[in-house]
Amino acid sequence: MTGIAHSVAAAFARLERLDGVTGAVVPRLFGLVLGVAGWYGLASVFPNRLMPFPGETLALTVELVATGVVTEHLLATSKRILLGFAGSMVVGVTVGTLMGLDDYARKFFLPYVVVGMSVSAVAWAAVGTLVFGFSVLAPVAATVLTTFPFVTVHVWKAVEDVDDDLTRMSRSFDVSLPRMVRRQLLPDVTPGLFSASRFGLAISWKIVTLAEMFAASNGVGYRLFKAYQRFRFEEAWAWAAVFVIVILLIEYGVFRPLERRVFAYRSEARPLA
Amino acid sequence: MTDGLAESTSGARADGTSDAPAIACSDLSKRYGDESVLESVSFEVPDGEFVALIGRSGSGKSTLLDVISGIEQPDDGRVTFPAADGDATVGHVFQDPRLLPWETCLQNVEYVHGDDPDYDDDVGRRYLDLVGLGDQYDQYPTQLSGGQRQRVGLARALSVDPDVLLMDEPFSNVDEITADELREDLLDLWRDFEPTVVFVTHDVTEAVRMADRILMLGDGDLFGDVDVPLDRPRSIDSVEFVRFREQVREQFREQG
Ligand SMILES: Nc1ncnc2c1ncn2[C@@H]1O[C@H](COP(=O)(O)OP(=O)(O)OP(=O)(O)O)[C@@H](O)[C@H]1O
Ligand SMILES: [Mg+2]
Repeated sequence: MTGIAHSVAAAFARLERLDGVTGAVVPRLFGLVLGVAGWYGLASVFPNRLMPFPGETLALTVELVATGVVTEHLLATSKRILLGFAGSMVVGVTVGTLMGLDDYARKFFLPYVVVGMSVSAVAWAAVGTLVFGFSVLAPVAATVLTTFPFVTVHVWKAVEDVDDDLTRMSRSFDVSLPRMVRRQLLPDVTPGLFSASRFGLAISWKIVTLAEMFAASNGVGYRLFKAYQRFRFEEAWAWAAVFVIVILLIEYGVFRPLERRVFAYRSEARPLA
Repeated sequence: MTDGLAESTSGARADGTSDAPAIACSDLSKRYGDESVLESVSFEVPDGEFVALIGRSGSGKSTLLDVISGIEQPDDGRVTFPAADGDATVGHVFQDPRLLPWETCLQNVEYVHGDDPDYDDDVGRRYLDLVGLGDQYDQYPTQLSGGQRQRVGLARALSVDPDVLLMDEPFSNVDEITADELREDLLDLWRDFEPTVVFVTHDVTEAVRMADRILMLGDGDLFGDVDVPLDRPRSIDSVEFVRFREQVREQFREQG
């Protein structure tokens, strides 16, 4: 009797584990398969010269990586992105924090942020090139100007939504300001900082590659554009693949693990909640 | 130095306690926008006394505690702590627990200690044991029931060894049986540590059971201030208890 009960319980436990695995893997796999199948579908409709099959693109990507040309241009692009991203985070976090804390600052900055969010990235890239020429400053300035309003809005909202009751609790126990910032305020705004940096980095990628098309003489965007100009579409696709792979690496290699660590308290809390 | 001189200068008594009140509120007024919540409220609480503050919902009980603990500045009047020479340690148990969700019970208690050299985790554990959370040191608030969270808030407030303990309906989210246990525990703790307590409740029975004295708040002012003439431990079924409780209820109903 107990023997049966045990094996039934064990079977259920196995099922649950299996469910955990399928829950984690199946949606991702499904998404990937659908994407690749769609690509195949389109590639078989369009002329191969315009749109190669996934296998061909991947092969060319590997070939480009092997020659070292990818490393060279990816490094150039990464440097611009990192500078632009860092710049927009510094500006965005500062302005966003001020806007969240202070009514005057909010009224002062809001028009700039709203306008900044709608100004076209191309405009900034063009202005950047006019002002700074082909130096690294052109794409970086364009990135900072385009990205910081979005970072600002995320940080502003996070700071504004800080749990006031917790702040009052800290004050009633005379907790020092540095301790309060480290233990109460920062953890409270961390989710907002995460989405701000996600957005910030994604937008930085777009702007830098765009700016590189006419304001640089190297970088992934530059190569992509050159490939188009010379009607080497298969090469353009390969550069686009490089782009996609790097984005996914950053998401799953950096953001996700970092999030898992920072928000451990949430997932630990889940089984009982 | 003669006793008489000591009395006249600092109010200190021979047994080390003090005649100076633990809390002195004078002419406290507090407005939110056009709404006046407290209007010239004055009272004193002797050192070590257990005071219950009762009043209807929205009468300003929480606001009064916030003003006493310094979270809110009064628009008029002031709060002083003469018995502690103005520098009282205040422990505040809030109406909602107000725990840091990203920290464990133990970390939540530790949080309010800053760089206090006397504090280590053993101290924190002792206070969590005291409120019956001996198995929950490393749990996060979301893993606890509402009543357990409230008890972490209580452990946190007790752990600072408060001169003044402010409690805002601490047992309102706890089932009747657990609340009964916690009330007894609180009275034990009060006897052992002798803090001055201001205990907010809208439950007249609870007020009569716990307090030395009952303050009634309504329409922005105190309209009642009665001593509880009952010996401890109190039996809530005794004739004296029931009679006094009805008396308080009557006054509360007529004026509150
Ligand atoms: N931060 C605030 N801003 C504006 N009004 C407030 C604020 N805090 C409290 N009030 C108002 O002050 C009045 C008293 O509130 P308070 O929370 O002190 O009442 P209470 O007696 O504790 O009520 P309850 O028994 O429901 O907890 C209420 O009318 C409330 O709306
Ligand atoms: Mg209240």
